[in-house]
Amino acid sequence: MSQPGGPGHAPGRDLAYLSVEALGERLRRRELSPVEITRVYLDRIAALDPELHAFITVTADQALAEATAAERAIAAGQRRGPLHGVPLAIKDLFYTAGVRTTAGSRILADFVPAEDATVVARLREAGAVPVGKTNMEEFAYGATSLNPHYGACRNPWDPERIAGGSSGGSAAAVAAGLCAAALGSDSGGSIRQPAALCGLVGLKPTYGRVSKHGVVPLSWSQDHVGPMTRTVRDAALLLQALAGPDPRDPASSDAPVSDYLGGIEAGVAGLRVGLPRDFFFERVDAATEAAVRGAARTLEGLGARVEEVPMPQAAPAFAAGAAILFAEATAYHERWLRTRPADYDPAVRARLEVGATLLATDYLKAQRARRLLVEQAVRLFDHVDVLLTPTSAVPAPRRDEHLIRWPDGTEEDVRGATLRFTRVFNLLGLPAVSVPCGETPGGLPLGLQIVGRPFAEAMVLRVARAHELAQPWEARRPPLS
Amino acid sequence: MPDPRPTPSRATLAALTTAAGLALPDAALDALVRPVAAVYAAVDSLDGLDLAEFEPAAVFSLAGEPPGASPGA
Repeated sequence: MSQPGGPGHAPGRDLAYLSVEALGERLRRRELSPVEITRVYLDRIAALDPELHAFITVTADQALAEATAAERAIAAGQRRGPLHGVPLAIKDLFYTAGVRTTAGSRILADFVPAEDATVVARLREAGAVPVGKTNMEEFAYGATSLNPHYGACRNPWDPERIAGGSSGGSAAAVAAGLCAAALGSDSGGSIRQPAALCGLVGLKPTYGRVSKHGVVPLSWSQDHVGPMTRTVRDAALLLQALAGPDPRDPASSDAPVSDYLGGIEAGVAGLRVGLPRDFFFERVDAATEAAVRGAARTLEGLGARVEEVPMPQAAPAFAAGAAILFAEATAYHERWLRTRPADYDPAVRARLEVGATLLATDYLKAQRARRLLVEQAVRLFDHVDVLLTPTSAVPAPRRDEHLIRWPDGTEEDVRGATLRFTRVFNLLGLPAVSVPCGETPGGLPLGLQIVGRPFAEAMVLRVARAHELAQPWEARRPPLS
Repeated sequence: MPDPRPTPSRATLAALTTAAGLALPDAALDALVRPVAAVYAAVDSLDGLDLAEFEPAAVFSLAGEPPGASPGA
């Protein structure tokens, strides 16, 4: 594995891998300027993105103009906070005023929104500098980010493997040091799965915690927005800027926003950690299972009480989540599916056609089941503070790998094998973060998923931070960087 | 608990997709059989839950303002 500062890498590598927090601090002390760091990232994008395909649109001129404005404001003593002047990337699913928002599709290839998504506006208000719009699965409907219109996104840890999806471009960009952090969306695991496959922290907050106004929908009742970062503290820092009510998102929650960094170093002594007995350790890659069980032992060593817990809700939650996703996605795409079918990626179109065969009663049965399953799942947290599971059942598959063959003789498509453990929590709406938890013998990152009760992002991040301190990953660098 | 639905035939899928306004060739209909059967099985598996007292999770709320214009769907 290559090390920081090694020879033969793209320019500005050490600066490029600073955490958001460290970068913000250097900008505050004026040891580094927003323009300087923005140029570092733009140079690295120019050097590495022709191979990675992490970006659909690079907004270099706009980024430099915004970085210049940030530089002047900081020099004038008008620093807005820890994100001021920090270059970030935005998944191309989020509306950006005056900048095309393709959703990874040909259908929206020329769509230029008049306004920013709420979360993009919040990042701008915090002074962040978007450097571009990242590649993704078409309309966020898949797990590989092998986009037929804008290039097949590659994994910086092994360019012959997928970066995951649907937020694969955001993950590849952060992992390769092309930006300090990125925004992703997650309707079945699309933040957490690519974070796991690319060695990052990916946070899906509680449903309604972060606005989805101005985000091209996939599954209205399961869409979530969140940060993808290289450290847990950075995820907390970004969530602080993103979270809060938004009257323009009908699903937005008025629940008070916590201080996500305030208690993040409190450790896990005395906390109750549950390892689900059902579902999450069935058909899982051996290295992944060993890493997750090792993470549980690590937390136990830090004073947590780890116990196996039943979770019979997981399998039906996965089933109901799939049905709701199929129905809601097809409902959104109905008009284009009838008028522009040839403009879709054939794999995405096939998924949309499946949704057209579901009955209204199927959808409503899944939504009724959801109410029962959420009630039951929330009660689990009377006994535990967090649940630990693998994020993906397998590490990053090869780009040409379509089926995973399990030792029991069954086969599963890549989408199922990499999203099976995450989708459960889109249906349930619970906060969940994926953090790096080791690697395969071949050096591919593995992900640990930590799940909490509704609106317990601070608890989930606290456990993630304790794990991160015990099993540090941040200093690792992928070969393609 | 009711019996699970049988694997849908091409004719069933043709009827459903036509009703949805789609005109799919035979090859596309054939390709739908397996994934549709899997989704039907997933939905039918929920019959094992006791849902008698449960309304659907909220898909309607009077709180908040309407979302902004979508890009056209």
